[in-house]
Amino acid sequence: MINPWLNRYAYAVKSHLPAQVRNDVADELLSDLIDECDYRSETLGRELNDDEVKQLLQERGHPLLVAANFLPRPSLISESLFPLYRQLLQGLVMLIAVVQLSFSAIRAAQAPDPNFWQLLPQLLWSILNTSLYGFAWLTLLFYLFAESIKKANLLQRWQADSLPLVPERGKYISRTGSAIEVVVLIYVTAWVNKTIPQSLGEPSIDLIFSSEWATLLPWITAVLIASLALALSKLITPYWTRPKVYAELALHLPTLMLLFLISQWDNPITLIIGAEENANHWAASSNSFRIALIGYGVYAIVDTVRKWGVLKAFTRG
Amino acid sequence: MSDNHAKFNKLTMELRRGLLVMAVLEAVVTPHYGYSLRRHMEQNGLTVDEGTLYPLLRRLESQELLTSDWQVQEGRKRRVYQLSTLGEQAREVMAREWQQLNQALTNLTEGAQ
Repeated sequence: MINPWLNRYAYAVKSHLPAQVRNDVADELLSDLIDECDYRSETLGRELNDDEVKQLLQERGHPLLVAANFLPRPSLISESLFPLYRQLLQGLVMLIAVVQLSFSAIRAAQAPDPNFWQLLPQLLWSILNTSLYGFAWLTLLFYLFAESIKKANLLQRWQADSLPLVPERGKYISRTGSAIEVVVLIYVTAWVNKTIPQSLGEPSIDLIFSSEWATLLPWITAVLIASLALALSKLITPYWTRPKVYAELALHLPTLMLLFLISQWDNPITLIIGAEENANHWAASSNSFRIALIGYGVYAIVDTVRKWGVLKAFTRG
Repeated sequence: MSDNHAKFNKLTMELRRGLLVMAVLEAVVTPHYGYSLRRHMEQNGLTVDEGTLYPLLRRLESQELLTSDWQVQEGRKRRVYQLSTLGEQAREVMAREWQQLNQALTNLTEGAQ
């Protein structure tokens, strides 16, 4: 006669196990428990009472923990990719906070009588809400990324030849910067291609692209995807190599050309805040894009000079 | 002090975990069911809790190092494990590796003195 507590315990463990091993594991567990009871009975010279049997089960641990020992332990984010994941997540949350803060500021500026104590919880909620979506998407993407890396055996197939040259002064790329770059580029690519909602928040904030954008969209997307690929490569291997420097510099040219073409249009982007009747329109004029073009041009020159220094360091190294 | 104790405990647990596969392969040279294997190892100075032993037996079986079948022993159904041919080869490889490691450790210890 099997003590009913042993049966109850084996049944509880069984309920946490997958169907294909359930009966087998539970039978073996029950057999082990009966043997342990027999051993203790022999030592005591009498049958175990219910309290002693329950004490034995306490020692074995919660049925869920016992069952967990028999289950594989898959992880959504692999250990090797976790540092990247954490940095991207930090970048994502920071970006979401900045974007939501900007939108709240715009809305507050537009409202006739803004109430700070009403806006603050709204802002915190929108940051939390959007961050949770971001967290879920990023986790899903990383899971798929890790699976594809595992299938392609990428980390095992590395070659020592791919190791970077060591420049005179250590030229590492900030992973936080690359993480923010990746997040921003994914978001902008999705936005210009209208794969995510164009309208944000309540009252809504819409960015309306003029009809000319359709003519340049494939080129803009191509530049964004190339930039994204480069940003990902900087994130995964956070040091400069010659190809990375050349690619970064080469991307300035098409970006400048696109900005130049956009600056020739009238009102390429219109910002609309609020509902249709009471909406406020703010059109970004071609002058704004000329200023952006000049700003980017200056940045490109400064960046080229700096990267030139990195290239010279490679030559000396 | 308790912090150090916890650290040392963790280190020794890691060491034991690494050796456990080898110990189980050595122990199942003679067929055993789970409970008798646990007792056999305990009597030889190696206490293994059931939460570690049974999942390990299943893992070794899935790696084809052990085979098992249900048998009736002493009027009771028991799952009996024994070493497979592959397990026998693995046992020999691990025993050789262990001897080399043991020798290397002895050399290092003597060199340090």
